Amino acid sequence: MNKIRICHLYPDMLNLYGDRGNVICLKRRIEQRGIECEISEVTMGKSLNPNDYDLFFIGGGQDFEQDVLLKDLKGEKEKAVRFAVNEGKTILAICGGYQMLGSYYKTHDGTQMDFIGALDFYTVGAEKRMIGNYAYKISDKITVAGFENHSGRTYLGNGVKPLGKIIHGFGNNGEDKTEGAVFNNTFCTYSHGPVLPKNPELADLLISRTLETKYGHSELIELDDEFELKAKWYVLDKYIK
Amino acid sequence: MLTFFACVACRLVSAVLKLFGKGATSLPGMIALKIYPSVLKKVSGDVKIVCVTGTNGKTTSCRIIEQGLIETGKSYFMNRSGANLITGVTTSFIMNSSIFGKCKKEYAILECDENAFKKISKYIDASVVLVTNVFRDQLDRYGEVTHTLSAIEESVSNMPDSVLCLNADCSLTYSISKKHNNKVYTYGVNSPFPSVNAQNSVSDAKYCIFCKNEYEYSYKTYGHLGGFKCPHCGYERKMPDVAIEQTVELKEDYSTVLINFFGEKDFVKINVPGTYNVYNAAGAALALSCLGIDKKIIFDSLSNFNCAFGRMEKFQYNGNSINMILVKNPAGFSQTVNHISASEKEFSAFFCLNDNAADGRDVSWIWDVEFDSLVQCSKLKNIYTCGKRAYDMALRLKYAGIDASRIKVIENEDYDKMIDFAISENREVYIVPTYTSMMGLRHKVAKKFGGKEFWE
Repeated sequence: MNKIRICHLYPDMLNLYGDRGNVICLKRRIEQRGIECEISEVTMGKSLNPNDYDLFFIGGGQDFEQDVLLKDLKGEKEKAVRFAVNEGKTILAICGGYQMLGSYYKTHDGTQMDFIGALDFYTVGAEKRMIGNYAYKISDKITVAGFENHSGRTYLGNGVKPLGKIIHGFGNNGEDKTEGAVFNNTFCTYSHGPVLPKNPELADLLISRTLETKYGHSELIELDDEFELKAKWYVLDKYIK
Repeated sequence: MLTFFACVACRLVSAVLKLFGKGATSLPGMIALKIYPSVLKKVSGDVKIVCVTGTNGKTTSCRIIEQGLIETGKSYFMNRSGANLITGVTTSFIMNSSIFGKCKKEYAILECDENAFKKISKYIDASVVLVTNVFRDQLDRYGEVTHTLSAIEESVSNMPDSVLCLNADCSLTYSISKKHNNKVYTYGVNSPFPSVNAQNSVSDAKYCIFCKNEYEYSYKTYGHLGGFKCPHCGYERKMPDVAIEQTVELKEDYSTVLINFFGEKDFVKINVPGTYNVYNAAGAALALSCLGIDKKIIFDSLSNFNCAFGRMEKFQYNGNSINMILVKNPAGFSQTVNHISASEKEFSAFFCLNDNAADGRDVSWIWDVEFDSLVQCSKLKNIYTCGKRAYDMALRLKYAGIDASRIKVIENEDYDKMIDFAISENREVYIVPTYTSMMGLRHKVAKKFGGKEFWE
């Protein structure tokens, strides 16, 4: 039996906007395909061996807790995360977790917090939070509906591509219509909500990339996604017509 | 003179709105404030004010405090109908004053939204401020949980003479005592609730507010509430002045507790079910004692009061109970799920989720709600979801492990249809709405099953 091992990184710290719903969703959709799924929670102080996992999830957190976390991340975990990114492991990072994969975060009064620089982008704090339902297009087939709530504006470097193009809302910075970032199999987005349950196509994309890397094949049987798609289309119909 | 004009205008507008059958709470005050911005300070000057703020339990706590004042025969008024912005509070004061701005009531009980509290506190001097707790709530409005706390703190700084009644079990709330010089009393629950396992519940405050190290707990009641201690800087829970030493029984309609009231122990009945209402009872009891109300009267109030509309209300229909419980955030919703799952009779459940401003535009919080007890509950028959975000709610229940075929989605926020389904169930029913769904449902439910309109 095939098996996907999920690493939920910092579930104790990065769990702000129902983000654990993403892990619940992945596990269920993996198991419904007859694939075994194992979730490991890697919390502060625990060591992280990237070879022990196939899929990584990093959620969003509060500013208040971010510097506690950075102390822990800057140790051995930083190398492990960078290794996972470069090896093509599948990673989903949301909001605060997304920002931490970049080079740095500069607050609007000029203080700079250095992050791990696994991906080529940086974030600048703004005074006004970008809050609301929003939507973006990943491909002709995949439109994502979510909710964003961030004060950081993220600017992508040449080494990464945006995950999608904004249809409604702010996205990375409210200026260039980009949303999120992709590099290898690392997917970053500001969308919580959580993002995966309502966007099953994105969830399945992550699962098939993981299977492809691990087993060399990626076909997934279709599931009944009535609730999923109706929940998504409520948002799309309301805001994007 | 300006006070006079402001008061007259306020009363006129209110009278006109009433003429057209509208329960006006906000507009009259808004107009009075336009005419004379300090009118609130003027009319509130001679009144003994209790402000109740915090994330959960404000309305129920106010109801208990009100009962205490009723039982002592004191004259008072309350800002009803969830009118807790500065405009609503101003309306309440003026409607209870003479046209020259002299308040006719001895006491005022004010339910204060954390952010509105910042503004209100500039104009009033509360005798007592009760802070119930700080949980994650409507994050899209306030940003983050520590912002809610800062809003309350700013209000407290505006009122240095107010006596603070703080929840000792909430590390966020109790931290206020360390940063202000106000006189502080505390309340709390000294032991875990029977049959509630809180060890793994979602915590909104895992790390010390002062030094950011992880708290250690000797016990938890729910969420992040309990016997916290920071091993690094030593910030810890203090033994409360009013403590629930033991929760003797948690029944469907009431609870019995052993209360330690400034050192004296008594068994008391709390006339409303649910673990979180044990906290509300302890907090309100403390606030009443700070107003100088006698212990016996306070305990009578806990045994006699009735619930505020929609908070935990029961209607009878064809011999079955229809229970309505308002939910606003993960902590309260999880407690509600535990409460209904403990039902002794077979029941059906209706979950109504809206995403209007007052509910929180962001519905992601439902993913932090624990549904395990409901999934395992053998008494649960049918499940319905309703409200604007009915499908989000259905999705949450599906991923919690409830078979999708058991979930019926009522589309288009159709509350009439929902009530028809509730009646056709012909068994015990629980309706669990968010704030604006509750408001949408309330007159329909009251009309069908009896109950008074809320602005009366």
